[in-house]
Amino acid sequence: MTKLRLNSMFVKTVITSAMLLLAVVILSPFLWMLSASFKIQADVFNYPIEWIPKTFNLRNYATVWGEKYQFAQYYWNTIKITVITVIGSLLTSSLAGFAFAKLKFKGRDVLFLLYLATMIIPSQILLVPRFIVFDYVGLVNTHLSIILPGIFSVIGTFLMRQFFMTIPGELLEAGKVDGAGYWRIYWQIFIPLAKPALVSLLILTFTWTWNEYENPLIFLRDTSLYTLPLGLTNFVDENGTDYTLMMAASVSALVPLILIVAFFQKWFVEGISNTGLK
Amino acid sequence: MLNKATARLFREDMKENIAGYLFILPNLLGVFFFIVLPLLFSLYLVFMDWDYLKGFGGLTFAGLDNIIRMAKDEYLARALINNAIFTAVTVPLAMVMGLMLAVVINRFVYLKNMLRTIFFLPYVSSLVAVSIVWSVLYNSRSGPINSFLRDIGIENPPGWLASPQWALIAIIILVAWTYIGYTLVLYMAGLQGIPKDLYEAASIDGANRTTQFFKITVPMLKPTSFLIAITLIISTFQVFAVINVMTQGGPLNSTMVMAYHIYLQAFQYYKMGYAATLSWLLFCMIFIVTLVQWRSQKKWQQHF
Amino acid sequence: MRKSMLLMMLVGVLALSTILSACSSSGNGKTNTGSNGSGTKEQTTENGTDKVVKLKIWGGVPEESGPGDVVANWNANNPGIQVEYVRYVNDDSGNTKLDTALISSTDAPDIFISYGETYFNRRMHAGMTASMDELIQKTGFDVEAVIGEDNVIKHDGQIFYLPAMKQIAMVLMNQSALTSAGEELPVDWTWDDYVALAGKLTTGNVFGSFIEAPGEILPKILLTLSQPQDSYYDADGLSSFGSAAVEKGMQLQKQLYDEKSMISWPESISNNLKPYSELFTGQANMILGGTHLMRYVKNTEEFPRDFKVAFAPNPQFEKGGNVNIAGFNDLMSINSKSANKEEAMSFISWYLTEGNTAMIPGGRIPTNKQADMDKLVELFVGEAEDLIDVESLKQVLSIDYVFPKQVKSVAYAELTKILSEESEKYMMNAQPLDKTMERVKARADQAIQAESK
Repeated sequence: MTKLRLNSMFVKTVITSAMLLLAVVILSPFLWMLSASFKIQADVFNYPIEWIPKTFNLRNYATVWGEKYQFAQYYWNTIKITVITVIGSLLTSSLAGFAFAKLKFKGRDVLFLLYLATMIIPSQILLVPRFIVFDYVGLVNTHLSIILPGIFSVIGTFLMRQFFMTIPGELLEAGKVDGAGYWRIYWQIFIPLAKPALVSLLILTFTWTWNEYENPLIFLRDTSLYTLPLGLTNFVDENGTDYTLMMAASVSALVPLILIVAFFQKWFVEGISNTGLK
Repeated sequence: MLNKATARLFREDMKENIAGYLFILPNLLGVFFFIVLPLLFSLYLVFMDWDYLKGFGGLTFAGLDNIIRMAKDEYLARALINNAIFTAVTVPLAMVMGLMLAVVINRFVYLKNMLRTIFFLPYVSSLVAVSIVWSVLYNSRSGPINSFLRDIGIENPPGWLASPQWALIAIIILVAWTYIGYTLVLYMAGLQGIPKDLYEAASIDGANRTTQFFKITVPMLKPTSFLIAITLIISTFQVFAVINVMTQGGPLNSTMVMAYHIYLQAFQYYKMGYAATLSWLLFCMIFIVTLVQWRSQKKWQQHF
Repeated sequence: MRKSMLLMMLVGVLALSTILSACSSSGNGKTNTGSNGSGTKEQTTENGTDKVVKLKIWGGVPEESGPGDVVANWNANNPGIQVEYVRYVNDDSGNTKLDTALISSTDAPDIFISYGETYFNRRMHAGMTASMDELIQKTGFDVEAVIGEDNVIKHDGQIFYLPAMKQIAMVLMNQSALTSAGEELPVDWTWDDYVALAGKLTTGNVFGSFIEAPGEILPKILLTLSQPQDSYYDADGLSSFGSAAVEKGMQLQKQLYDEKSMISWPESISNNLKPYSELFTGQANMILGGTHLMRYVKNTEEFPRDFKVAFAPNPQFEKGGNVNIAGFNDLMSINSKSANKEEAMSFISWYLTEGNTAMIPGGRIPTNKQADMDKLVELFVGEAEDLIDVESLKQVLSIDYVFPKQVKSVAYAELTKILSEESEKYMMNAQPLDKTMERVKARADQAIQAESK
């Protein structure tokens, strides 16, 4: 009786090949998008699918990156908003998370519970009032209307608090004995230890902010302020039936991010997986 | 003596109290200004009629009109049902697929990191861009998906986004495709935390792989599953971008969901009061679902 | 303790709002230097003495199809009033953007163009449009001589908009397809004739017809043709959706789908199909369109084609009619909150008398009565003579049409929505005709009553 050994090299190779095949299937929408972006409209739906276009037509990219659509501007806006939001949210979240985890102050637990409760509030509930309040203070149609709500992140605070809970309290006491103030304890002892959690938060905030759609849709009006997802839908609205153009625009919006993720894949994967664990 | 010590302790306490408040202050202010305040305002709007184009002067008291209105809103029922179907199918689908892939990739393949990254890419991609790409793939007449289906002998392939029966399914497939990367990564991390000797012990006892999977892997991954379920349920309940880009709720309202219904009421029909009322309904639903889940998984509560 | 917490929060909020307002003003400062931003207030130029007024105009036509030239022409001759054009996409979300821009305090337009009475009425009722009578007097603009008093609908005896374009609806056809089907170009015809011709023009995988759902649907079109004045409402102020014209429109459109003369309703929506691209890429041989499509007719770079386009007049409800479902459009209004109303009016008056001729090549007929039709056709056609059946175009443009007029606006947007929703159910076989007619009338009446209560 020969028992199939799953760990044998042969079986492992077979399974790996099967998984690679599956990976290609998973990636096929991206591959199709890429090849269609070089085609002319007449060839786009040819079947069998021409994964490698007959001619590499760059006209679509010239239109997308031409003067009429400010894709470079959309990129700049998105980068600016994302960077500011990420930095801001790391700062306020780690401060609050530290306090919730390690400092004792009156009303702490009640306050934290309230924080937790706000996590399940659907963003739609806040949309209308936020719009009104922002309009009232003149924030509508500025990047601040996207940045500010992103900076004060409840989930970020929660993640940081969970992480700081795992660091022994003795470190805080030791710091106090050495005569360090709370700020120094936070900045010099706890922050260096919190790198994994900070990376998680960085990655999460980065992906969310980069792909954010609903808020920019409602708060931004001038096309010169648009972020990528918004610029992309605006482009599609104007070029509704030209699929090759749509694909060139989608490639332009997606590929740089995909490269970043592939390059920093360790960060991304660990960042996301750390959120699930203590 | 005792008094002096108490006084010092008290001073320390004060200092820590103040430090605590100062540390949370920036975040707290933001949360107050951008979450609590809008929340209170939206609660107020539930009892008001408001066409915001008319400014604050356009606010009129509506009593319970907005709440009564929900009973007569035939699209609301549709949206609720669609939301329920969407969440109930998408979440388990993404979880099961992610778990299976995680188990296989974790133990039986080479190129682990590369494969994980590939499966992960759809999750970090902009949902808007992805929806645009898929809406072309789904083109019912001559899109690549239907060309392929015809090629393998299916004479009448689904109409996908153009068909009231298939549109929601088409969207579920797309969204599940993006979530698999997320569930996969979390499950792989969870798998790392399961001690190897559990499997060895089971092996010695004669348990086969299937038994091991259901008796060891699945139970040990419960905290991970719980986390994934909660986060995915919350986000699938709020699905918006895909719907707005791909179907606008159609055809025949077959993809009408709460978030889109709210958006239409608020920003297309300018019924702010009613939109606020609907969003509170959505909140209550998410709240109840989360609570039920919390209760049923009480033993994992320490993780939060 | 609780008290001090509250106090702290209050102080915090105050501090934050100060920071916010400071930030936002700096944020706006940044926008202003960007390509689109500009204040509505008067700005002094660097040299100090000359005051340059900046006007912001929002319209839906792409800059390169006319507005760019208009703005350049004006700015060159009016150094004291510099105009900036902002394009918005004329769909639901684009109009929402305009609406929110109008209520915003920072970058509101001075002049805005609404397309169709529905959007205009919303804005007027919300008090966003300035009454123009006094301004018209001041600038000496002669409404009667240029546009005709009858062509402007007044509200409470006042003018809140002036139309800048006369749009004429017509049917565009692939002439080669028409010839090979052995058919004559229709002159006086009804929608029954249209449906019959669509059947004959359907060949292989090319459809005989395309009508854009849910915007232009036959129930709505036939209703308008049978009752051009306030077509949505009956004599008692209730909805007219129960009328025979609506039922007939439903049946005719359904017939087009059932006979496969037209791509199915959901497919046309989910693939975001547009009449002009259906015709010019050879997907359909006949479309319902209008003068606004002229810019696509000439665009052979994007739509290379080998056939001429022929033009037939708007099909009628009954033979011998002369109603045209399009009419006066590009409704120009002045923002009631604009600080530069007089300057805005002087721009509008220039635009309506001569400025909008720069829009003709893009397919927009000026409302100006003095516009020369021959010259107009010449500008329309440009160098595309071998792609256009010029004679039929002239013929269609020379007819003296009756245009629909919409004075009432109770629940108008909702009524449009109800009509298209119920039509959709019938077109997709989800609801029989009698039930559809019943529901469309009942829902519309309910909406009217709810609004006028």
